Amino acid sequence: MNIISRFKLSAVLALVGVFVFSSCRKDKEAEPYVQVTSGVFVLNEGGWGANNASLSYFDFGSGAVTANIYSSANPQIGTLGDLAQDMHVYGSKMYIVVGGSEIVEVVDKNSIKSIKTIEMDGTSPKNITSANGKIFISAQDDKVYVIDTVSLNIQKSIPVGKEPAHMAVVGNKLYVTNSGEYNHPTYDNTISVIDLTTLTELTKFTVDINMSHIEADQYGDLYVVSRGRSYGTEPLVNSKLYVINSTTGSIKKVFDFEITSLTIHNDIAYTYTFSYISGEKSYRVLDVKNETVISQSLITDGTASTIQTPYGIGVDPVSGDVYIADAKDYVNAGKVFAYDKTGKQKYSFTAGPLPSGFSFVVK
Amino acid sequence: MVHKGLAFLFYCFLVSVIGFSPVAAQVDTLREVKIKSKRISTFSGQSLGSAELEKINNLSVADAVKHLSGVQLKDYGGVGGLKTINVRNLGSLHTGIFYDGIQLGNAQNGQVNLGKFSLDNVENISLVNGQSQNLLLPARAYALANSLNIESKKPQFHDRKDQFKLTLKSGSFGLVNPLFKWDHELNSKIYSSFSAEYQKAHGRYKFPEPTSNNLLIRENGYLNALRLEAGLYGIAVDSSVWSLQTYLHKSNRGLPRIVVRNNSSSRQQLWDDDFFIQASFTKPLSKFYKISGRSKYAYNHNRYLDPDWPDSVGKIENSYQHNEYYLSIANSYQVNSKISVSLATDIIRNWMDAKIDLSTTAFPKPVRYTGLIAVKSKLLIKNFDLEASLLETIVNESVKIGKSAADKTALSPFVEASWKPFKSINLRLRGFYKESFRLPTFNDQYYTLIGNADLKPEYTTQYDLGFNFVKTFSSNIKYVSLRGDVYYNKVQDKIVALPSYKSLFLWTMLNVAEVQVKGVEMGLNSEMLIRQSVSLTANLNYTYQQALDKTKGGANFNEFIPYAPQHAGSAVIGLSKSRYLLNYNFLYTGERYGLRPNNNDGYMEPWYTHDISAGYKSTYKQLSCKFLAEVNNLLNQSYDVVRNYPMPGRSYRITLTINY
Repeated sequence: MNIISRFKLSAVLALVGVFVFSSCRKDKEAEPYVQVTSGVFVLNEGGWGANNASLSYFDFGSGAVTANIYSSANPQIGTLGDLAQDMHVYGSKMYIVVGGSEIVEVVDKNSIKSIKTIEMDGTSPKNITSANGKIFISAQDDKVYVIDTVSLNIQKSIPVGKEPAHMAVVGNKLYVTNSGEYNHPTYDNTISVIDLTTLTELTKFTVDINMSHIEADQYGDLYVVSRGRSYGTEPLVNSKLYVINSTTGSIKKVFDFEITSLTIHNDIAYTYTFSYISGEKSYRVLDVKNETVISQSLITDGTASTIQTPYGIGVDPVSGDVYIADAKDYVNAGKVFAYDKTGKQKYSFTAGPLPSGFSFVVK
Repeated sequence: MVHKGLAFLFYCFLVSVIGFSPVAAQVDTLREVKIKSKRISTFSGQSLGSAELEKINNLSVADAVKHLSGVQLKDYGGVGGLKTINVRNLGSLHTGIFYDGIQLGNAQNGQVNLGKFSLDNVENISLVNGQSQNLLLPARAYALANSLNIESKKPQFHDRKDQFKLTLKSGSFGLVNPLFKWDHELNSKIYSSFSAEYQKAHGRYKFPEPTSNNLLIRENGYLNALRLEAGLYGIAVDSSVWSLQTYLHKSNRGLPRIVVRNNSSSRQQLWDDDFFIQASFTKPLSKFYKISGRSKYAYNHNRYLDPDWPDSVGKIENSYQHNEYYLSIANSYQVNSKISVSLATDIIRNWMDAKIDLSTTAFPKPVRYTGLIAVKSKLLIKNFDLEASLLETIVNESVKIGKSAADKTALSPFVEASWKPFKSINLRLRGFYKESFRLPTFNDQYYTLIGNADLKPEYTTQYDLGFNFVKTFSSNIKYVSLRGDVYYNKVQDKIVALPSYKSLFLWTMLNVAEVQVKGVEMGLNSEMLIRQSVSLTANLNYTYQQALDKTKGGANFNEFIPYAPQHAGSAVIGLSKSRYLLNYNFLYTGERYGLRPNNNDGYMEPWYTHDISAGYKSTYKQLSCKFLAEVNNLLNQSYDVVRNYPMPGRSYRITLTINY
């Protein structure tokens, strides 16, 4: 070999060497685990197929955010999964519904350590509630699943209407909105009434199309959001809020303003609207005792315009502060804004992608 | 069917009227850059000739283009997974894919799946950044930012009228892949070529679950595909050439699901039928004037099935059909020894129809006419080359139902210069500037509830400075060739899907994003004799780039765009000693993000695969045999090219080729 070929060979080897050795893979840095004391958990839905659903923890004492406390608490599992759509605390456990992963993740409500992963047998779970020592999960296969809170096994499934969504409990009955969200443009227009003793459907109330959120007040009424029909060639239908008598199923009142979701705290309903049709963004406050609008805007300090994409609402049961989740552009990290009862912004913090639900740590 | 019949008649007519016909004008240009010829390339680009292709472990054109610098191959994994090319981060729709000089169009979504093109019938692949220097290019070749040219194999007849080739491939993923080719010399001026290929694979492979590392099986990645190709090729006395080719590819494949926690199974399926017939000719009309014509009819039918959609019907079944009629005439005239000019005119008619479940409206059935006129002049003074061209695009669109996109016109300039500063040193400096755009696809404009008929084209601007250097030796080293480029690209009015309000269904396509790409590419090629009769060839490539989101006011301003690594490289090293071959391929893609925010969530680890292959050739009289055994991803690295679409680990393939 002459000099040039030697040079050539060593150049080849050097280049290959650079590729091979400079490129060692590094592990993703995991966030350190933080002790939960007093604060709020924010459920971040994550993007479809992105497998990046997460749980953020905001500590009231330190004002610090732990971005992905589920992953910190469960490094052996890593991600919470794909599309976390709802969560619920019952007893000492927190149940997280992960729709895209077709699981319900059961964790300790303080340590967030995984206790069990309940597989939903190939259907996508949607929303969750509890009553009488049972957990109820609505699922895409037109059923409500009953989970025993001791064994954490699926005990039963109850056939309901199309694509059941949110649930509310009044007395010994469970009310499930049948959204029919995959059946555009007809949807479903019923609420299934389930007896909590026999765990069977007693009847269906017919209300309006595409219902989603349902909340019970302390006077036996149900507040139900009909999302209307916001696209397509059929006539568009605005969303509305219905007040339903839970015993008879009769419509007591219709709030004819566009509405996306609500949460009820004592006698106050906090609502938010992000209209699919007009783009309207608003935050109305209602009195559920008298069934009247208290205020057209919860936010009184002029900061409403800083919320880009309202995506969830919650009330701290201790302080009465209202939390609004902002999903921003549905891709980047979202944000949470906290308002006191007078509608002044107390603080805001960064959440994960598509924040949608809140769970307050009550000691 | 009616369309096919009409088109065939039309082509028969065309061929009979012209009486002589086609062949890729690309051929000259490609020959020019082949390293074998040791001529120095004057344009910005790279090519892989049959000698290079032989050294790369590959099944399809997609596997080969990974070895070109500046190329990102978007690969959803496995034998059947969609594979599309993205050059210098401009986006896959900015690279025109040309098969024997005629563009493979897809007005529906613009994507050309390179996995469909088997390398067995490919002689040369070249990637041209900017524009090819050929004077007789169709106007369409001026339109997009870059072009990838696939040249089918042309037979060399010696003393026999018939040549046969039989290839059998088999290996991991349940691959069974027979191919048959027959070339026949009709007379000294005309020959025919026929090839048929069948591919079957179950496509299953193991991959580690991202967090638990439990091994799971990748399901629903199967592929059944049939390819039939036939061509007639001719050369006339006046050295004019012509060709008539037909191509049919029918496939059915499973679409594996994006892998998320506890869910990686899918039963979605896709059926694709692609057919085209194309003709071309080049004829010198005088010593100074040449004309070439190209025409094509293409028909595509796709059917998509999701048997698990959760509505009361319980499935989604969509079908799409589109066709294209294409006609091009190019003229070149050599004014004097220094100046030549050319004029090319193309007309394209695209039509699409679809039946889409969940769609609330009837499909608008758009028809798009695109007229392209390109003028080019070339100045050649001693060691200095200057080329300039201007392309005028006129688009007219109409729909049966609903709102049509507005008509569009645009001018796209291109300038390229190259200079050989030293007489005795084979070094060429070159640079180009090019403006181009891609039209919104039919999907961008008319897809139910997403489509936006008001979209503008997506514009790109490219600046490139580079050099080519070749030195040949009379020693053991036969030659060393070096190539380097620095470039700066901009994409403006980039079309992205953005959600309008809170609904899965209400995303809309908008011209909002901007991207800026700065990069450096380097390539080294060499061949040397290590010992008597042992020859070594090496082909090394390295790319450094920074592709940044420059969307004004965007949340990700100045962050890296998804799937744009800063570092990428490849190496192909081949050893041969008489009948034996030993090849080593290395690919490296650096860390990058698979999601828009540059954070932990979307971070993707670098990946680097090592492939090796060994072959043996033997000839007995007119019969020649080649046996090749390949191991791909030798170190069994688990990696994703597209986030949450795991790629296969170590796999094997054997190939037996018999030529007669």
